[in-house]
Amino acid sequence: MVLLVTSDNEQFTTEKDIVERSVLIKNMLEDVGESDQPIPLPNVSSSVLKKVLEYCEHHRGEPLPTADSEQSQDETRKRTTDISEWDQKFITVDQEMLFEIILAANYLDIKSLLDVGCKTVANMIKGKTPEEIRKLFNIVNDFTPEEEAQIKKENEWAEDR
Amino acid sequence: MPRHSKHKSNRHINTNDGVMNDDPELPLAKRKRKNPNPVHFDSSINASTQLDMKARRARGKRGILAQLTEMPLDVLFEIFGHLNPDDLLHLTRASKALRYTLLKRSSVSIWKDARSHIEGLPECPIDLSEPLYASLLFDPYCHNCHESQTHTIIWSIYKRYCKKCILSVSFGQFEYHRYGLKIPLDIVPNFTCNAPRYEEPERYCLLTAQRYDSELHDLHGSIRAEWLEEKRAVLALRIKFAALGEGWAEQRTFERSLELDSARQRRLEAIKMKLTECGWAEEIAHLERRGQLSDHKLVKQPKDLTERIWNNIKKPLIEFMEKKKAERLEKLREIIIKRRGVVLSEVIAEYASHQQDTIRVPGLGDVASLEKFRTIIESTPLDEIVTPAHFSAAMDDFADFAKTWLDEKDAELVAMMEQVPMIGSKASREMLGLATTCFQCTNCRQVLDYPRVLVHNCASLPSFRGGSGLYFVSLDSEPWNYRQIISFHTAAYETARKILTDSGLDPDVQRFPDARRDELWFECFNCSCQEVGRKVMRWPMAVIHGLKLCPRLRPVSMQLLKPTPDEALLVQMLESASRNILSGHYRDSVKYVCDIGHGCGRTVAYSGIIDHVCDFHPGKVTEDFDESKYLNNFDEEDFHLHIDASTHLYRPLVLNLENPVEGFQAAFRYQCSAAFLSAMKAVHDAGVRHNDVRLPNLLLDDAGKVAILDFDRADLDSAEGQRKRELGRLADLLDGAYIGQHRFS
Repeated sequence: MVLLVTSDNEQFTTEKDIVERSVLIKNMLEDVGESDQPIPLPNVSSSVLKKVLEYCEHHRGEPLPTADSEQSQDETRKRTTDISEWDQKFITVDQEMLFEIILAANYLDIKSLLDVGCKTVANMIKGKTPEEIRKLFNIVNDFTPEEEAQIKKENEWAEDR
Repeated sequence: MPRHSKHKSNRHINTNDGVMNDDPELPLAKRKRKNPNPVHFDSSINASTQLDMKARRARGKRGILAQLTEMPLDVLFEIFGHLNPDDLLHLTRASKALRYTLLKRSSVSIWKDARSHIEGLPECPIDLSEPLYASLLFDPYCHNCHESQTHTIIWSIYKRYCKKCILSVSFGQFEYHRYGLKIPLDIVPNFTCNAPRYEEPERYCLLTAQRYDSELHDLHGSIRAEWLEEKRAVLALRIKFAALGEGWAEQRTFERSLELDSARQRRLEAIKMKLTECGWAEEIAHLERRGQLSDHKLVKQPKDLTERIWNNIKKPLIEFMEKKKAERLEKLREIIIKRRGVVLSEVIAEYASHQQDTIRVPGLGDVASLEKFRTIIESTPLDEIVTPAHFSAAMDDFADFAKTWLDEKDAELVAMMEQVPMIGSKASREMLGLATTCFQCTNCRQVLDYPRVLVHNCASLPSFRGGSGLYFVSLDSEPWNYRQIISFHTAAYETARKILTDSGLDPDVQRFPDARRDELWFECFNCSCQEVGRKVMRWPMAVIHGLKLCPRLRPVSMQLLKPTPDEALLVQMLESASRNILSGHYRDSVKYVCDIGHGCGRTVAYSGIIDHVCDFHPGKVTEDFDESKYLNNFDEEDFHLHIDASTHLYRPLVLNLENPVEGFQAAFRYQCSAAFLSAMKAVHDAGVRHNDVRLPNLLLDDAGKVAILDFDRADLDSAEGQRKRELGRLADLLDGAYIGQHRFS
């Protein structure tokens, strides 16, 4: 049993093999050893942690990516932006939550979750025009119309212009 | 998934539909974030202020991906790592911050990663940066005029040019001097394009050439040589790169076309499925046999079928199916009616074969227009096969009908004669058989006598251009003279009267001579003269000759030939000789009149004889009926040569009485042509070409022995083809092709 405390001071009790999908917590537990002390997660809010634990629980028992498989996994990840059905359902959340999950996955070092999050964002960007991307992510267009015409022709490195 | 097409998707994103999450609260959240910073819309604020404002924003308040750039860089790179180069290009144009991040040299790995997602792409050349390369690959606009939809990449110069610009930014080999260039052409990058016909397709890059030219201007000696060497090396690399790039583009186009094909196929299958659900399975099978469904413009699109699209195209497609079904059923009905017509015509032929006078039996169109026959043909269910038995009841009083029909038609013809002022009320049924009574077909312009006019082909052939009605077009036969194309031939009547009167015959009693039995010959005095000889011809030919063929523009001057016994013999022999030539070599050009069943009277071409016998005289076709044997022997028995038929040949059977020798010789030579040909073949086989094939050099004795004379022009060194041609010429000569031209015309 592991005790986690979120940024908004909520406590979560969870099993060790679930929470060990997070490399951060796994390392921490290895360093500290068995203890009843709660582990503070100051960068994660309770609502996000709930989602993250849901993910970890679903994927419990699956082999963690090790250093050797890193290379081959990297290869497959490059080629495909496919996401498994469950993950897809899981990640269908609003943009704010998606953003939080990605950050939490990054912080907690859960490689597969980070991957799912990034792929989802990438899929949202793919095949869209700049205008569509701005609309989708609520990005403000800070180019003047003249600049906008100009930048289409300028694709050189910023340093070389 | 978000939609990809640009102009449509904007609308959807406005209504927050195309976005992946459909949380109803999200738009509110977005608006909340937008409002505190309305200055962002003010483009007059310079970029640094905006960056400042972004930096001042508290980290804790971060939320939606609007702050893509606030992500930790490694996470951002992780996201970008999944994108393709074209997506990266779009991101660089989305906002200044994104542009700044992506177009830093340190972001080169993102671009490389993105490029690695595209299979088979050549490595980025060293003199091209990653973003520029991505732009070359994926920005489809012209690098000169920025026209979009420019899909051709000119790999050797890293450019895209549209059709309009490509000629102005390049030059062909022959235009070299126009630009005052002094550099060797082998250092200038070149490419091939689809230039208009008057331009050279092999082009050189003008910009590079001009730049090189000015660079080279100041170089001399060894530096110049080095410089040239360097440029050649650059060009070699470019050519190598261009080859790889073109290969990739070709492969990509190919894959794209496969993709489109399979997308079309998927759509077709999906549409078929939907239509099948609507109960159109049978119709789909019929349509697909001719590919009509897959060619439909709503089907032939490489877009997957969604419920929404289906709802849009459902109505027009169902309408299309209904239209096609109606068309098909109409066609099917026509075919079935035609088939039933064939059955009925068999029944009529069977009836006619028991009649004395085959020519006076009504045709298919007349019979089928009778109500009771029409009902059987049109109203029997389409899936029921109509047999002769179906018609047996209706055939019961056929003899009465045939008689009434004949009375009606005769009356019709008499009525036509009454219209002629010269005849008027004198017209009667008895007059129909007179030699002066000629009708004409306004369709084929033939002069027709009675009763042959009753079976003239055109008179019962329906017109596809209207006037006949679908029923008769389907039957391929209509009632006799349904469209009023038969009329009385007044001019022929007058000509005939004059010839008969001049000949001392009474035009009011002289009956139409039988072409085979009556020995009535007429001589044209306009044509007969010392040089050409005397022209004689049989009856209907005499009228036609007087009407339109006699070459002199004089009044008709023709009389009955009253031959001496010698002359009579000569005429008969000449005629039979001419007949032999016509029904031999020219038999595909002449026509025959059928005599079966006491004169069936229909005219047929040689090639149509068997069909005619099978269709109209099935009684003839017994078990031991041998087609080829019949075709060799029918002449003068079942069919006779149609001497006034229109042929493209010289008019058959206008005989030259004065100079009969050539006519006989021609006929005789024709009979012996096999012997001549084999003799000439033997000469050729010996390697000799005669070189002077003329009639005087062909000798023939009374016993039919042949000889070829006059070898003083012959040679031994001819090619095989020349000898073959000579043999062909001899064959033509024997067939009368050369004598015929001037002798009989």
